[in-house]
Amino acid sequence: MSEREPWPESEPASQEIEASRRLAQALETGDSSLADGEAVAAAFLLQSGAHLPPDDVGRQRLRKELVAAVVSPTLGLMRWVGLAAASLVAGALLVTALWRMTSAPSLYTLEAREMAARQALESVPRSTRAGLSTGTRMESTYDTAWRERLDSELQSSRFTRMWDQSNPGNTASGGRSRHAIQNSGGAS
Amino acid sequence: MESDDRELLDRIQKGDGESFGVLFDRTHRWLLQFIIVPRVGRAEAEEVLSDTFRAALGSIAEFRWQGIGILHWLAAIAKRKSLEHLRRRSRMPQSLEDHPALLEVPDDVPTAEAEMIRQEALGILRRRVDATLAQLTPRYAEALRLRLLLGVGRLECAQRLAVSAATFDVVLYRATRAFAREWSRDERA
Repeated sequence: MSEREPWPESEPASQEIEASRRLAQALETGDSSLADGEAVAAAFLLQSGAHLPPDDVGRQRLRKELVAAVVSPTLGLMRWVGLAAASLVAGALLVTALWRMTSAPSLYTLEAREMAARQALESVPRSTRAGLSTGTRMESTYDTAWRERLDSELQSSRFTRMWDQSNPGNTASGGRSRHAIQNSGGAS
Repeated sequence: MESDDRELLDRIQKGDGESFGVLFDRTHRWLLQFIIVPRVGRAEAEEVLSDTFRAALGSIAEFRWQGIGILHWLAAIAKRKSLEHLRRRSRMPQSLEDHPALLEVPDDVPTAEAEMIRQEALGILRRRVDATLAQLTPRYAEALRLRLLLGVGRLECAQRLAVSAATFDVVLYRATRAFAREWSRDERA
């Protein structure tokens, strides 16, 4: 037993009781703002000499967060450049869209377009235009003839089928079916 | 070992996150034990540790070798964050802060050896704590050992000493003041 700290202890004064309560609170909650500085310092010093608790979940979470937060400088620069480029493009699109919204199609614009179309048409030589016109007419005549031929073939086929169904054994093709005619090379 | 530190730092500065994780593994116990807990206590130490590493992450790209190792640099950040934490809580730095010279970070500490240094420093600290406790009454020493070294809860400590919780608070308060006096006496000697 040390002579400096006699035992049994003396009765504590009210101030000492209050200081004891604050120290206990500081150790429980960590809030040592009102506790006796020297006592708290000694307590913290003793705590630092104790065994540290094993890595808890909070420390593992902090580690993961730190590992994920490390950014490559090159990657970081590229991100900034990409972001700047995207911002420029978006800004240009926005300005264009706003300009178009604010400037409605004017009569002048329509007239200008019509004039440009006329000028373009005028720039085509007259002979070329005539050639184009003739070519278009010829194509049209050919298409009409082709359609008429297809129609007549279709009608003929329908008639043959109907006749064969209503007169079995007495074919519209003189006793020979269309298939037979085709298979014989078309010669009767 | 310094080349190891340089390689680690180089990888971190090139954006290797796992290398920063290795740095965290090597140094966080050291920072907690000798820089943060003695200043802010166990209850708030994790918060300060988190602030320290976030600040380090923010400025590690600018870190250049200028005669100090990474651990020394981290220790400086941890001290600053501890003080900021105390100021936020309107608290003054504790009066024993300047006394334990053995808790100062030595120069040029290689990061890879941080754990070994921690064990050595911890051994020195514990021997000195034991020597200081031996100067106290057995009851005070027992109260300090139970509550602060072993981390036993307040009520259980009171039970083991066969006193009420309020009486245990007084015993612990007197014990911590007695410890501080003995510790400072040894410092002066």
